[in-house]
Amino acid sequence: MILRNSLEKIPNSQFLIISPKGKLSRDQIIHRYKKDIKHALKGARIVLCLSDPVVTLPILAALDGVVEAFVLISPTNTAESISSLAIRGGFEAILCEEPKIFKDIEGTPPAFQDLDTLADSFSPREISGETQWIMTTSGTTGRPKLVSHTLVSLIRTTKIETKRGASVRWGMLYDYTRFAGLQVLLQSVLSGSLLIVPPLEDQLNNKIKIFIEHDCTHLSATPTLWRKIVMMPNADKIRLRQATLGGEIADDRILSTISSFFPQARVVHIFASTEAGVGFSVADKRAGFPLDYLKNPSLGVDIKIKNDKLYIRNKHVHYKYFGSDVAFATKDGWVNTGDTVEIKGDRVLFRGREDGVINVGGDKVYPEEVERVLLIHPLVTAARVYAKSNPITGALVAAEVILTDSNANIKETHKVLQDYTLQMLDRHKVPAIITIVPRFSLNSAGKIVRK
Amino acid sequence: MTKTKVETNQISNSNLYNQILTVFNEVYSSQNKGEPAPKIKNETVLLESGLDSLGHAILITRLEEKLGYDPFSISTEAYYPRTFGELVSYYRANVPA
Repeated sequence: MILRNSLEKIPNSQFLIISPKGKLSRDQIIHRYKKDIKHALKGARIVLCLSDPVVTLPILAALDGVVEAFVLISPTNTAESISSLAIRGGFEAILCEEPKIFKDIEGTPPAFQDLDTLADSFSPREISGETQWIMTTSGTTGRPKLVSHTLVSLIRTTKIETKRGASVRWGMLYDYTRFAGLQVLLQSVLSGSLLIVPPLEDQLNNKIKIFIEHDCTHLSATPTLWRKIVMMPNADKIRLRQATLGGEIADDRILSTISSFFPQARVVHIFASTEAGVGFSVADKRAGFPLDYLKNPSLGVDIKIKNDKLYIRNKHVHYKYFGSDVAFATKDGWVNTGDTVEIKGDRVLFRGREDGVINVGGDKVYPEEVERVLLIHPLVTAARVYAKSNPITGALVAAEVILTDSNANIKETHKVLQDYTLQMLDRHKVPAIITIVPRFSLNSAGKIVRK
Repeated sequence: MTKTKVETNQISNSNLYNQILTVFNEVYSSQNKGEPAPKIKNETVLLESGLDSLGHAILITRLEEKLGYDPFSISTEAYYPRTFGELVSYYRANVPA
């Protein structure tokens, strides 16, 4: 299966994507690049670092089934990190808006502003197998990991209904270069729907205005972003038929708020990760997922629970990170999602991350990093950092500390530590609550959010 | 539903209003490099007050610390207050018995 052939199946009757850079119909996407360009690029490995999917979509249609691999990476990354990713993955060229940003970075493959010029520097090679769509994971610290998908593994659960699709207009709230964003893009375009892409850097109320203007019917966002959406004065003017939640754990309150806010909308939360791909979807507006999914998975993708951890099977994705020997799945495709779960009655509920990582509105925090910062302070002898659940960001960082001097003034020390952490840490890593304790309570050992 | 009634008995209950405003101002300053908070009215939309969603999350945690309760965990109502006045009403409507 290749993207161009899939696009050919939908009618060329309407526009498929609109952004500030313009709008494109099916034929404009398919026929943007000539055959000789595609011929020259056979077997190539290319970095695509472009901000607007209106520019990228025709390129994807030209490259899929032609090149060996391409990676999508957002231009909001630093030139250094894009360059190091290109080198690490053995990529041969970068397509980007500002090639000059790489000129002082040694070892960077040549960078080009347009695909035609880029193609001139290539000669065709044999391609073995399908084109690899390399996706980047959200690296908490350091560099992002590269996961090797194909079009088939990306859309294995996508329902493509071109009849219904023509009346659907998806709004894009994600970065399309990331897994969740690419899911929305492929779902929308391959169903013949219109994808409305507001400028990524726009304020939320402007994006909402654009969605209202274009009569957006379907939206996908993280629970944190949905909470912001329902707190915006103009959001109830979007006439939504579907609200999709993904990327973070959805709780009961946000699910029921969305459904009362958009009474016509089907509310669905999706479990997916860059490594595992889409696992399952839940449409009953309750947190967690039905226990029955272990036997009858909702999207036909096998899931299992082992030692309280959730595993998802993906037979299509390559089990090692691209350009690395590190495996994230067993050879038969079981991916450890890193999420711990608990079975309660007929429901499976999420209980936080196996590695203790705290998800603060989509930003990840390692408790150990915050503990280290607290421990450097001379007033602190021991520190324990944990997640405190929060109705707005899902969780916040909280800390318990034991002071070196047990007779210290609690109120003053508290203020000192608050100011200190605010100075030393990124905003989302700063403990929202610091509690000074004589000893750690036994049952606070779990760094897991318990609701 | 109590949530939609805006501040009819504000004066008699001004203690809660002032407590919430004080915490709001503190959180605003801590999240905006010491800048004083702008003047907040009942109709001020929370997410347009200069406090982003992280700031807002911190506000709710600090209010729990100060007031001793979290209406979001007490009430199961499908609701997020959008304005400052709605926020105060929400805390008022969900004072633990």
